[in-house]
Amino acid sequence: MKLRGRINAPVLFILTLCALFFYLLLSAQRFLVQSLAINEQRHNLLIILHELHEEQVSRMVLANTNHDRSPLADSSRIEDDRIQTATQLMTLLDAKNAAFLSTYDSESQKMFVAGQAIESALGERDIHQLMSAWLAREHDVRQALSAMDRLGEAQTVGLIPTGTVLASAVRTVFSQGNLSGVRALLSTPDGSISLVWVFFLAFILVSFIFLYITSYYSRRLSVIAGVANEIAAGRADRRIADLPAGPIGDLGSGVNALAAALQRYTSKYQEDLYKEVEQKTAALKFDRRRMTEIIEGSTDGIAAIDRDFTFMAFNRVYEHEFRKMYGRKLAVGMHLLDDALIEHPDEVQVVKDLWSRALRGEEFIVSKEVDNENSGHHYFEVAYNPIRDEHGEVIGASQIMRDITERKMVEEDLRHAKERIEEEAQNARKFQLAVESSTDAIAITTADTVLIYVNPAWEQLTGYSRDEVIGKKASILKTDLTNPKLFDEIRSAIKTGKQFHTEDLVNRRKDGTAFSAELTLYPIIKDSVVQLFVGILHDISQRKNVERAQTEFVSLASHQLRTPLTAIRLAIGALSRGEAGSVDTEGQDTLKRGMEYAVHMAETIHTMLNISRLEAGKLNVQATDVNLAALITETSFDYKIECERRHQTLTTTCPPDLVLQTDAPLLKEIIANLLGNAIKYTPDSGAISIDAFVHDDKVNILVKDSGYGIPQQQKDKIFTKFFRADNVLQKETSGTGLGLYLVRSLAFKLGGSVSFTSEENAGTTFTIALPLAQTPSHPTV
Amino acid sequence: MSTRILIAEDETFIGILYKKHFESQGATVKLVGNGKQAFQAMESEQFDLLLLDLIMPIMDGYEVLKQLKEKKATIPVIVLSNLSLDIDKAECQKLGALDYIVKADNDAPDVWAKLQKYLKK
Repeated sequence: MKLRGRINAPVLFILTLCALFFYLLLSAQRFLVQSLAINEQRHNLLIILHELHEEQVSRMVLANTNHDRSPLADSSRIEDDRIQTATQLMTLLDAKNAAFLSTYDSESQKMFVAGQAIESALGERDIHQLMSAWLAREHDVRQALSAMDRLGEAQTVGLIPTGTVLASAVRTVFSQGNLSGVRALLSTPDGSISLVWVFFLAFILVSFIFLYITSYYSRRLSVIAGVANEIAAGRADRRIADLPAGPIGDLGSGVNALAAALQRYTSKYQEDLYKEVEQKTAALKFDRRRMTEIIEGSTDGIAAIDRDFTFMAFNRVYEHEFRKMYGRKLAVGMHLLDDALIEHPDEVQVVKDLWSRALRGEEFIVSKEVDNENSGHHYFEVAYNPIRDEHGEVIGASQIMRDITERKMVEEDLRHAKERIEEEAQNARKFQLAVESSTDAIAITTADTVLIYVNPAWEQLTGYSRDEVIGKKASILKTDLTNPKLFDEIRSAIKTGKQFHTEDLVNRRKDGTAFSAELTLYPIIKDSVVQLFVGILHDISQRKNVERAQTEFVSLASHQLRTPLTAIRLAIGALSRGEAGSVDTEGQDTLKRGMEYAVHMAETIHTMLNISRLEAGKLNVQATDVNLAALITETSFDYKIECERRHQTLTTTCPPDLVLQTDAPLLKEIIANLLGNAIKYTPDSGAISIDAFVHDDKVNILVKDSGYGIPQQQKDKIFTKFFRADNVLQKETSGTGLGLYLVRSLAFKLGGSVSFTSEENAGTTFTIALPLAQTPSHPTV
Repeated sequence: MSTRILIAEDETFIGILYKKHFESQGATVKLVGNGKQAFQAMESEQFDLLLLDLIMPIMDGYEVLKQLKEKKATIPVIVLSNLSLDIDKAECQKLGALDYIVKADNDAPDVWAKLQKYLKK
């Protein structure tokens, strides 16, 4: 027990010393490790900074987004922009990092050098010395220990008594209070001071010095390590104070320099970072404003919700439409299903399903029909789209609602219009079919007489096919066999847009053969402008041939009748005048009666011939300037002899310079007929007059007699063909009943009229009223 | 000197009755039966007026008018015919006839009265 106590004390001391020494070594090593840790943590810091940067950017972006919410911000386009922006930012930061790293590398290099310096300073100058010293000491200690062991072994037997001596000596010292006890203790039993003790004491001294040195360095290093750790933790403003001279001081100032550099670069880096973030934020804000304007300006309702069906954004139109539909005013942050649609529980599921599809990433369009008292009947086209973040994750959904009511209505109108057009087209087809199957040749032309349609009958009549004539002028049928005046009339009718009819056209077929044609032109007038002409063409060649034959027959017949009549008339005249032998008074009466019949027959032939020509359309009006006074004189000249014979007076009055445009032979025929009647139906010694004058732009010709007059009850019949009044029938007068019919027909032909006043046995006055000038064209239907 | 009238008329009976009346009025009248004879007469004699029928054998009235026009003859010609169509009248006028009288509608004095207009000179 005593022995152990004696031996244990130095061993423990040495062990403690060793531990301290190792601690010193470990501290030095830890500093190196910590230097490396600083480096590593610098890297960590960098990463943290980078993350911080990103976090800040996204936080700012989010802040902006929150401040100015818009569904389009979430649209893919904006995502793209953001990714692009972030990528640009990253690239910039990487560049910054690279710069920083290189700077840092140089700093860490410095630090590493400093560390090496420390290491070398400490290691070479002190640590190694300490080590070698310690190793040397160890050797000594080991030797001492082994010596002690040996001593112990050698003195094992004597130890107990020595211990006893020691104990008693101590006891003596403590009890007696003198140093002899100590001396006794330190002295061997033989009285000399033991070498073991000398070593022991020296060792303790050295150990204390060593302990002091190591604890000093250890404390310093731990302070530096602590500060370095703090710097590594981000407090770059921390510095190591009270730096002593020497390697520890160098190490401390190295750390301080490192911290300062770090602080400098960090602040500069942050500055750049903020500047960049500010620029990007401004750009984003501008984009956002523009987007907002576009969205607000849209006539479509636009809204966005997040994954929890909460409204993130909507524009005015959407708000307006939503309020009309659901009677609820929207607000950002309002829950679509639990709040906005709270009064419409029946619609929640439908709405939820639709939005959910979009939130699952589906893009689709649905039609929506709304009919309520607020909004009336409306049709919407609603587009749903998911909103994704930059990683493609669906973070919400958008809805674009377009009111297509107007379009629907237009479509509806179009459909109705189409039906109507179809109906019209069917009607038109019926008409077309009717026209197509007509046996009348029908053509339709433009206002300029360009053919745009001909029917099959027209093709058959003319020999031209439809394709040949469409786009050509109708004048392709023209021939010079037609009276040129007729073309003037047709042109005038076309120009003035009047209906026109003629039976005197001669047209030519494709094969060159001519045919007499009856043409009726109907203008189709719209807004007072002629749009089209419809022309109906008939081949009247056969009819014309019959008429021609008829006229020729009548002409030939009248000639054949007149030749013997002439001989009879001349013979009677010659006899009555004594130029062919003498006739007594009774014979003269007979000749007179015979002459009357001959004259009647001549008149009948003349009138019949005229009527035949009139009815055959052969009497063409050929207007010339006619001096009426001369014409009246000439006509009355023919009746002078007859008047004289009957002792009737014939007076004529007419302005000598009265000139009118008319057909002279036809007017003469009219006057001659009326004058003949006046003479015939006026008793001997009666008075007959012709008076002409202009009244109301009309030429009035009055043929007046003092004759038998026309019976009141028969006045409306006198222009009828073959009519003869009862009173004149009793007077043994001759007449055909054709004269007044011819007069009226001719007066009409000249564009005039005929009227009369009459009193039985007092006389009759016929009045012919004619235009001063012939109009160029008038219908002859 | 009396008026000399040439009548071209193939119906002799009718021609003679005109001739008798005109002569009774103091005229000198020569009567021929066709156009050819009319030209022969005009070659040998002078006439103040030609009264011309249209339908005649050998040479009709139209041919006479045509040839007179070609020869630029100055003799006044009055057509006396029972044809009364406008085209006949127009044709004669075109060929230079001064007047056109329908025979059946006129007695001999009527014709004589109408001729006076062209004989006054």
